[in-house]
Amino acid sequence: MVTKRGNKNYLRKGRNYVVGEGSNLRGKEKEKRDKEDRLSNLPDELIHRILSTIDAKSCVQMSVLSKRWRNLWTTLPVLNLQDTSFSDPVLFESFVDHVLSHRDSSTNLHVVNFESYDDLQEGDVVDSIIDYITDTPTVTASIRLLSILADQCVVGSLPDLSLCQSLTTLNLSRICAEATPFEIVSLKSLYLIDCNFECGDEEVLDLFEDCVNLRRLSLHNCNYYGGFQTFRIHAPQLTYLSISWMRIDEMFNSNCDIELFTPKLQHFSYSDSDVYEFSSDEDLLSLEEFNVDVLLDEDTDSLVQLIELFEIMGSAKFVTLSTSIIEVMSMFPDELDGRSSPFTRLHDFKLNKDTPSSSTVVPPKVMAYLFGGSPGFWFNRWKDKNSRDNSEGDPEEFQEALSLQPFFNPRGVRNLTLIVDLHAG
Amino acid sequence: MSEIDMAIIKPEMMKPYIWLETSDGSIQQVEQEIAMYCPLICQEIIQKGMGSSKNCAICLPQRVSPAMLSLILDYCRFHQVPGRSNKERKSYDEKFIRIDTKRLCELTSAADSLQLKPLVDLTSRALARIIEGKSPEEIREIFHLPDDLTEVSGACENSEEKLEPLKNATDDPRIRLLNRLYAKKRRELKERERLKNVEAEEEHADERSVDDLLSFINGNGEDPKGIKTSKNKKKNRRKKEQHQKSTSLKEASEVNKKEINGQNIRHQSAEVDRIAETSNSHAEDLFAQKEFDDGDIDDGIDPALKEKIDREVADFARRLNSDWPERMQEFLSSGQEKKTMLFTPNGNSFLRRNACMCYPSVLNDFTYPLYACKLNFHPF
Repeated sequence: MVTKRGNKNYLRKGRNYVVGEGSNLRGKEKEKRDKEDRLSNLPDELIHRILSTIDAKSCVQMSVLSKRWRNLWTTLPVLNLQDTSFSDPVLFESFVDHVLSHRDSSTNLHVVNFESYDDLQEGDVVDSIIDYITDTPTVTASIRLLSILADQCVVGSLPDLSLCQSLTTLNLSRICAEATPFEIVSLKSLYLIDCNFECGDEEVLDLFEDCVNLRRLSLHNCNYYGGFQTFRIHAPQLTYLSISWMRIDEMFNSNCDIELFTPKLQHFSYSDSDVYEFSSDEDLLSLEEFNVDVLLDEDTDSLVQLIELFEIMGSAKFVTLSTSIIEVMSMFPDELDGRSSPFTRLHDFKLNKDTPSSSTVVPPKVMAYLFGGSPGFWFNRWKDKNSRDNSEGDPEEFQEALSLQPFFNPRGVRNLTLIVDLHAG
Repeated sequence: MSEIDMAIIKPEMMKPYIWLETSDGSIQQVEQEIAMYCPLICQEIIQKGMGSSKNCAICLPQRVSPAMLSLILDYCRFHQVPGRSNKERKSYDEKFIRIDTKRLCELTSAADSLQLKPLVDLTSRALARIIEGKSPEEIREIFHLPDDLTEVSGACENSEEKLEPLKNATDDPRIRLLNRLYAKKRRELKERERLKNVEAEEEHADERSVDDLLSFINGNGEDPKGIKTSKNKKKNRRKKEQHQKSTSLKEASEVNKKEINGQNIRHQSAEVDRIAETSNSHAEDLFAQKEFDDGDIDDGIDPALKEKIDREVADFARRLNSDWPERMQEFLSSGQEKKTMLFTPNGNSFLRRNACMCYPSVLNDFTYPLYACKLNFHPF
């Protein structure tokens, strides 16, 4: 708005102070407004939010934009340290060093995402990051998510993370470390992917007992060097568990068994080429989803292990099995003799086909074994997931639901999901 | 007090319309259902009982102009309908943010002041995508940022490969420190390399040290000592560097497939393209520099070997530049295929190697996806 006072025109409300001829004023004012720097006018918090999805290198480079941006990077609460924009690992390490040492250490740091695909020359950049986190009080108290992907990097300071009181999510990918128990009380989600652990001689390996608040655990393709016989997962609050491709001394060691103490488990996924021996003292009464994706050998040993696993997971409502399971069961129907159906409250059953084929025939004995134990559940019809009357919901929704398990990839797998309906009766 | 009670006692509160006042003083009527989608408005209605009439219209924060309010209400109108699928919502969101950057900034600000978190996330990410990967000049151009730093060096704004994050001409002690750090690192590496070379003299010319690459890259602005001692190894370094780059790119693109549910395939390829671009420009850079260096080299390399290396380097660079799009397609599609090959009868190691290099979407725990395969992750 413009008010006239004397010969000069002023803009109201403290906008750009423009002195000039009346007739041009509107035009100039609009032009000026158009050229206004709206990005820098956003509060720090919003700019931080915007920068939180951009890698740290770019954020630091933005310090040359203008005065306002000069030091914004020093107070970023989210650090994305990726080496993909660096051609040289040494430069990347120096950069990380620089960023950490020149960061404003009195501001909160909530998230650190570190990704390095190159062979790190010295390999202690990860340790230096953990040291920074644990040595800087503000950071130790404010860090919530730590994600480290460091190809073949040996990390020594993992135990120090127990000092972090707010750390709720920890992702470790491809690192090598000693198998010391994770003692992070605040931890809710732990993802270990492609890692190598050096274990001692103990018979029982229990890495998670001290993470009393752990809700989600995902162990994918981890290798444990050691002589343990039992891998224990003791997590009283755990609701989501996913195990795949677990290896001991780089092999599938069928002597090893996996002990579960997870009374509140709601979701269990397993994927491998063979089945470990599972045991659980308590019934998993809260179990909702049970997914198994294995390519069974055509012999009875693995089948027996699998059947034992079914017994443990019998309360599941939503079961997804791979077709090879059905095939091997069909091959050895005698194994099913004398066994009652493991599933007692089956609601939905899906078959994951890894190659599109015409159809999977489920012999009656197998059907009786799988479905016979669930009252009110009987075969209604096969439904193609992609058919129009799919009441399961959007295929996209289905895929999102499974996106939590990295090794189930409906996008890559051409699924003809055969859905058997629960006919409410 | 239940809603029904409130309706009986104050029937006007259940009217479907709410009065809102924007920063310019104008007042308008808005369907209550839609306006309640904004937490701030919701709060004002429920806790303070405002908005039921023109007199007690809810005063919106200053950052909410009428134009922005209109946009925000459009957003709310669409999203507050419960029956929409995720796909529909995402598609709407994508179209919604296709506005000019000026309005995008305003929208972010307005949504933030109304505490409409999903919209703030959406707009912030959109702004991040705009900023990401652009040079400082471009960013200044787009957002009309004032160029008010005392000295800004062109070197810093150029090729990302130049590298030192704050390499510019202002006499910042931090930059000096950083440069010293780099120089020290280079010297250390060189020392180590030299010791290694003494022991393994038959090392093939190709396997030159990273240090040499380092000095080479920084050759232009850096320590002249660095250049002189490593002059001889320039060409071989270049070759190795390109080789390194292509393998790291390969890995980068593989691991880029982190988002399995595929919603970010578009994003991923943009990411990969960006990597491709920077490496491409780098390759060209090197190539150009090769020409330049030809004149004044007095390296002790046997000329025949030198020629062979030259040819290999040129070849490699050409290949890298030319079949880049095809190779990218290959990487992208092979990434997909790998996932289908979860189970083959062939053996564990192959399976394991090719099993999804997918990172679980931890972002599910927080509201921020990190980039690309990138990732995702921030609690706010």
